[in-house]
Amino acid sequence: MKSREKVLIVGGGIAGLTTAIELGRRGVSSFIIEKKETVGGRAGTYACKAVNGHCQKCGACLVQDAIRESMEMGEIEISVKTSLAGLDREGKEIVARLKSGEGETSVRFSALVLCHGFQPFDPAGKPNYGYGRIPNLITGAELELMMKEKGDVFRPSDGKPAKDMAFVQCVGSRNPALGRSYCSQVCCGYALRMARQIRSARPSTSITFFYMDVQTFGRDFERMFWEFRDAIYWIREIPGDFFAAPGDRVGVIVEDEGEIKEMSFDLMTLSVGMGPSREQPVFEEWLGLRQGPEGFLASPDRDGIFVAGSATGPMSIPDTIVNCRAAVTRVMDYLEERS
Amino acid sequence: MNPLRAEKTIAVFGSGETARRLSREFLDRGRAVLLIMSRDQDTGDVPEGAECVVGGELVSATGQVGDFTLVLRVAEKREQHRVGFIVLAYESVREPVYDILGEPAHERVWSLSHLETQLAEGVFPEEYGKVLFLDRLDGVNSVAASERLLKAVVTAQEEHEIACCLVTCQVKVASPGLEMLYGRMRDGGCFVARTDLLDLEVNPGGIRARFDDVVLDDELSVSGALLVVAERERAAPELAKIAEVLGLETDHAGYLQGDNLLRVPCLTNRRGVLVAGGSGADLSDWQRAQNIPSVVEEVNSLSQWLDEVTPVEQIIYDRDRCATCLTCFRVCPHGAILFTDKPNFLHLACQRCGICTSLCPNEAIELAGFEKPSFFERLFPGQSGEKQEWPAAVTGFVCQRSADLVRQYLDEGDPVIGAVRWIEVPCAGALRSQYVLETLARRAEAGGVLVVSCHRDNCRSGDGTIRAAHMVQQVKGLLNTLEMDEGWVEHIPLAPNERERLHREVEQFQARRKKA
Repeated sequence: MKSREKVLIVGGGIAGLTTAIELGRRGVSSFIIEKKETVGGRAGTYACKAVNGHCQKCGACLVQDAIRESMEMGEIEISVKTSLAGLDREGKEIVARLKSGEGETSVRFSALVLCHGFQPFDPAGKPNYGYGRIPNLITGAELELMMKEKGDVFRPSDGKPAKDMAFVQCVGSRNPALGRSYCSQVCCGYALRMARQIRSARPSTSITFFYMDVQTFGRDFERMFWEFRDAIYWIREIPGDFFAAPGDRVGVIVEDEGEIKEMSFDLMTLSVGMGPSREQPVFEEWLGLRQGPEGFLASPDRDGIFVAGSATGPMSIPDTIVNCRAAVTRVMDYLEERS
Repeated sequence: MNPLRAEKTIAVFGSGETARRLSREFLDRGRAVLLIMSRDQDTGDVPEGAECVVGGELVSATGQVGDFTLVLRVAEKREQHRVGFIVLAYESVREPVYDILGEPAHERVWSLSHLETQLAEGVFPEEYGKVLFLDRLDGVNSVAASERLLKAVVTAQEEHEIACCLVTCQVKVASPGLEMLYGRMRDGGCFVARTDLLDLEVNPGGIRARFDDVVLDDELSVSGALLVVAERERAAPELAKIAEVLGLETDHAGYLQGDNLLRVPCLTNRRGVLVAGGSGADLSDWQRAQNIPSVVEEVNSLSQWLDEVTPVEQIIYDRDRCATCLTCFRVCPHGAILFTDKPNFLHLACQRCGICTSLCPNEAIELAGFEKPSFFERLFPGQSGEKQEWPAAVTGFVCQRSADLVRQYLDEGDPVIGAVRWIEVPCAGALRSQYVLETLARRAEAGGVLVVSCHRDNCRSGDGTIRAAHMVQQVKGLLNTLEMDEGWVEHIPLAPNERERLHREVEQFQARRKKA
């Protein structure tokens, strides 16, 4: 049962790929546009966090599975290095102006699913973090990439292994002063999983967490948390100021066990949260879309316009898959009603 | 062959909100629903048009996706039903966390469920003007449990003007909308204490809690007229029996997705058997709500697949060799083998992992496209059993899921990956130890054998990784017995996004073999 409908999907990350695959399973063709050179999106750059051959349920490998499946599916057409120059509705159709190396074309679609994802919080925008100024102070995404490509953790300044490291949670999350009062939902998960992996590879590494509340991060959280809790030194405070300490270490001043202490670490990771994509304002303007309470896009779910995945709010890879599959049901209902 | 048609009826197990909502969704889409509720459940609100069985216990389920035959025991009688799909939509069971109190319930100690009922009925007694809410203090409270607690506090504050205080360890807000709910709770005047130790006095006159607040770093005490205790969620008791009858994987907590993310959101190890509500895992409200359309979509997709698919024999069976030992039936992770006087292979249920073929002691079954002669032809090209020359190289058996990474490197002409003869297998669990041993025996000087599988709990066939690891251990044991180097064979668990690691591991293996 091949359908003649064609759905435009904006973004080739895990959200866009999942949406396209699920539509394809129902015989609906889709056209994915991705502005980068390859599909996979941000989640495609994340490391596998398995420990001793045991999966920790981060979901990063699901991106690779989705890429392979989308390549094998006849219903899916992918156009990389392509961006949107305009979007409009004409009657029951979506008219998209697509811009690629070959110029600009205008194409008609039956429906549109925006899967443009999120923007990680940029700590450089808040000078007291010292990001970009203090050596050996990196973001969670940078740590992911290091673990993925090198399989180990080094100090960027001298390439030596980090003997003691710290994670600072809630950077750009749960902070009304930044206009980001929400929990990003994924940072405790990725930071703790990586910490566990690092400890497993180098048991002598000392790891400190600066945190507010530890968020549940997976289906077997309870078991993992008990196994791992004592391996970490927990400090319930988010440091306000960071400074370069001797030996290219990263220093902070915090209160720990009733005392004000100066502490320093070989490597400091800022667990940055998720914010709305930079492209969001353009979509709001073109299509008259509204924001949800957390400042991400609310999916209108009508007139053939849908938003899915982390474009609608912070969410993990597995939750993105769940959210996109739910969106596909609404897209299918719309297409059936429309015809 | 005629196209297959799925049976129109969908069996929905459960009697909670998810089961009812799902039933309505299916009915709205023109499907028939058989709603199977446990005994002593409220049947007041059965969706119109659904056939309802109250107190039905699943005795057996045979068949495969599109056509299952269920036998239910209802009041000592047996009923038989044919259904296309099975949806398990039990909600988790809620259990008050009284253990932190150190003593059983008191009339001034309520469970969260009890409070919710009272609030819903609007009969909250005024003398309980101030309420203490007590969350789990071990830090492992789930988002789902926290969500209910936050909602109850907000309802108590906003609709009943009750003063509230929450004693918790970790405030869980990692689900859409929860941080806002938490903010509303704080704005409504709720005092939130974070601690992991508590000294609690429950007296007829009221409740008093003393603790060290870890954020304020001070000893505090709060009092109230009533103590409401949070609840933890547990897998419904029905799940264990259902899992046994249907042959479903369970995780450490008894849920039916086996802690395997490849089953997210609603799949189980059996095609056509789906989970929703609190049956697959302990989920937040948001996740539960998202799962409902996902189940509907999965049923639609599978129905469409059944309309179009031409069933092919996935397993080739040699009755003469079969010892009817039941091994294949026992090990099949997908419920694709039905045993009568011989194994019957359900080709629509088979997901082609080949685990049954590798464990059959008599080589009575082969996976189509992966039969021994053709596999040996690939493994030892141009040979009919004798030793012959083929390129001196390590042999790498790689499961289909990770084979893409190998292909990428080969396309790039990578010398490390290119120095290995790669043989794709459907799942590493399909690999017979005999294949590894034959490879070692025929080309020992070639440098050894690598077995690349997925990570544990991240294998499409559930336990393919465990089987592969076990097989490699067996081979190592045999090499040891023969006083040979067990390093000839290695197992590499790998995720399909660990491209760089594959390279490193292969390089290290080659270096070790050169040294040896």
